[in-house]
Amino acid sequence: MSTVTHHHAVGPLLEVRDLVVRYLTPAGPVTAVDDVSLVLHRGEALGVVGESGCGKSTLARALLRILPAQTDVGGRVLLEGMDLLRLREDQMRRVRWARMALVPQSSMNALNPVHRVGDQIVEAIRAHRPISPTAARRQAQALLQTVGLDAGRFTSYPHQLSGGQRQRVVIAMALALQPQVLIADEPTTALDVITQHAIVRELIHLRRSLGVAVLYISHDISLVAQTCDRIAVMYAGRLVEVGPTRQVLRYPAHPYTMGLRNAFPDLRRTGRLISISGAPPSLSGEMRGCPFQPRCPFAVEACTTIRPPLLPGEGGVLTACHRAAEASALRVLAEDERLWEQVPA
Amino acid sequence: MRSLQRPQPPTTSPAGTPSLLEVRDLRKDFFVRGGLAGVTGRRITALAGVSLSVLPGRIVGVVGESGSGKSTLGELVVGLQEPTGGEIYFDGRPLFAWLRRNPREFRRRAQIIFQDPYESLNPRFRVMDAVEEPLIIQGVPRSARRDAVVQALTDCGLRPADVFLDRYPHELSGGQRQRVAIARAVVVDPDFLVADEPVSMLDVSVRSGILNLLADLRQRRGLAILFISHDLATVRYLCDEIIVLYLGQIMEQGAVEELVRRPRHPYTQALLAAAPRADPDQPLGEVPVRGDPETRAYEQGCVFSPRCPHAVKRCQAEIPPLRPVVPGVLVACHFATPQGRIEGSA
Repeated sequence: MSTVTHHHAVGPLLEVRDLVVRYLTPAGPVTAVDDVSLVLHRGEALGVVGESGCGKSTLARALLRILPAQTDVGGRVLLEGMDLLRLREDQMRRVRWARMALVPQSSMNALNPVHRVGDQIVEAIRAHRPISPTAARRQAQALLQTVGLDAGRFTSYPHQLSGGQRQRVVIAMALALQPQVLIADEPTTALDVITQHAIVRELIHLRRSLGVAVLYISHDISLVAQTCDRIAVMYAGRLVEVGPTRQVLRYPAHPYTMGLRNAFPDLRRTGRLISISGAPPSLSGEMRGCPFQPRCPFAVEACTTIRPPLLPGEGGVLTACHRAAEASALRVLAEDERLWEQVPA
Repeated sequence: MRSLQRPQPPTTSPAGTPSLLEVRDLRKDFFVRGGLAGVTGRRITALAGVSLSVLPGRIVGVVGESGSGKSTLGELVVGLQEPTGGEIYFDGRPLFAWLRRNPREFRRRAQIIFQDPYESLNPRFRVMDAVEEPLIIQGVPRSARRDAVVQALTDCGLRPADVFLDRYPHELSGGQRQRVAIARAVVVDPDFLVADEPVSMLDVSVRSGILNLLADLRQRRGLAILFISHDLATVRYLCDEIIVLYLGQIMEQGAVEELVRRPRHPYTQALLAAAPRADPDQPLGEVPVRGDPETRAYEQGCVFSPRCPHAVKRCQAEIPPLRPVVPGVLVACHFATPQGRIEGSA
């Protein structure tokens, strides 16, 4: 038993293997997450970036098993070796929040408008831990301070708080049971720039001080660039590139990542932005080859028929592209706007 | 109503080109009912004395957080709302008199597009119908309409245009829908366009295409644009000038490069410090600001002072006038300096 524990302590905290999520809709199945494998290490911040509909939020929800009923989930989600997809619902309830907690997009949905925010935290703690109301109350007040709020906010109702303060309360609730993993699903989307910055800084600070691992789901590459150790780029339900943030953003090996980098306005850069023509493919039905192929200026014959596997390349980066070996040459070509225009819209 | 110090006149081009849009001391209050019986009223000031000008063919960015009044400003200058005070001149003529006399003529010259192309396009209208409608309103004869629609779609990057004519909005991607909305706005060949957060709902990979389209429209058609956004990086990319709004007042305005390189108002400084950078080597720094956006402004004094790290007594008592600090840059701060330091507040 002790060797097993030890083995787990050195292995990844969270390991996702061959995860497939299919929504069963009247119009047929929609594969939102298509064979995704990734690991999250202890205390690490991993950013999952992708555009709307790429499956990043579905991925987050699949890990916590909070997907709608009409959903097929396959593969494995191993939390310190324990497969969460094999747990009964009552066992999963003990994992959710206590070991793996969610910071959702909208704090308004996460908080009950008719209860004081402190009471909501107390309730969450006492639902999982056998402690006295007084002790839970003390913990809740400490948590509010941990996320940068005045302990006096305990007695506020959600509507008495600003959007940023509410999101801090939601983070405090997620942290209430000292989880090992925090899944933050676009936690700042609804907030203003300055408030967003404060919340993101808070998350980084908490990760460092509490040692909690963060899976940060975002459509905003720049937020991930400044906060995460590693980045996973998702496209049409698949991971197309995973690696250390600096390496992936400086030397992207997947054409989609190259395109994203071209398209992103940066305060420091003045060159012309280049967009990626076309739109992501439909996720219903069987997809052959590479999902990015219809929009890719570098696509070759193999891309239409053979699905590129996620393989290790330069600098510890995993890339799912048949032409990943030519990445340094393609990166130079990718700076030419005309190249991206040739792809039909 | 508190008295506002008269702002400096807006910058005009050195050559003295007359502005296309001239806004003076614009004010907009909303009255909301409060209390259980709705008897006690509350005034919310969306804009408190804003002056600006847009020259022909220029792109002016309006930056601010939610509640800054930026969308209200956009709707006011194309006559979708009536101001509580102040004046708006379009091509030298008072806007509201013009709108009363000949709304059709004004609408041909000034158009607006919104954040959500899903909402601005009628789901039952095909692309042809949507883009043709303004031409019908303008009384363009049927024989000329199809060509004009095809031309507008082509100019907006929907090529080949005839493929798109019979499509419904739900058959288009988000980026294509916004292009249709832009085509609908430019089909009447206006000289002014308000673009209210036109890319913030779009994915990154298509966003830049819309920004480039707006830049091209300015280049090719001489279109002047008031570009409203919360995102400084986007504004920097597209615009010639920036106006920074906070709680309905201009904090700073001037050429884009000046404001981005050397922000002189504490609020502009905070906005810049908070803007995310796609640079893994640039850690998130401190943002010099206090409190939350909802922090109530003082009735007197600088609206930003409750959040300003440099604020002193004077800031709470005296409204800082929008004054030129260097040529072409106006700053509403008692302590702003040409070098960008906030001096003398200690």
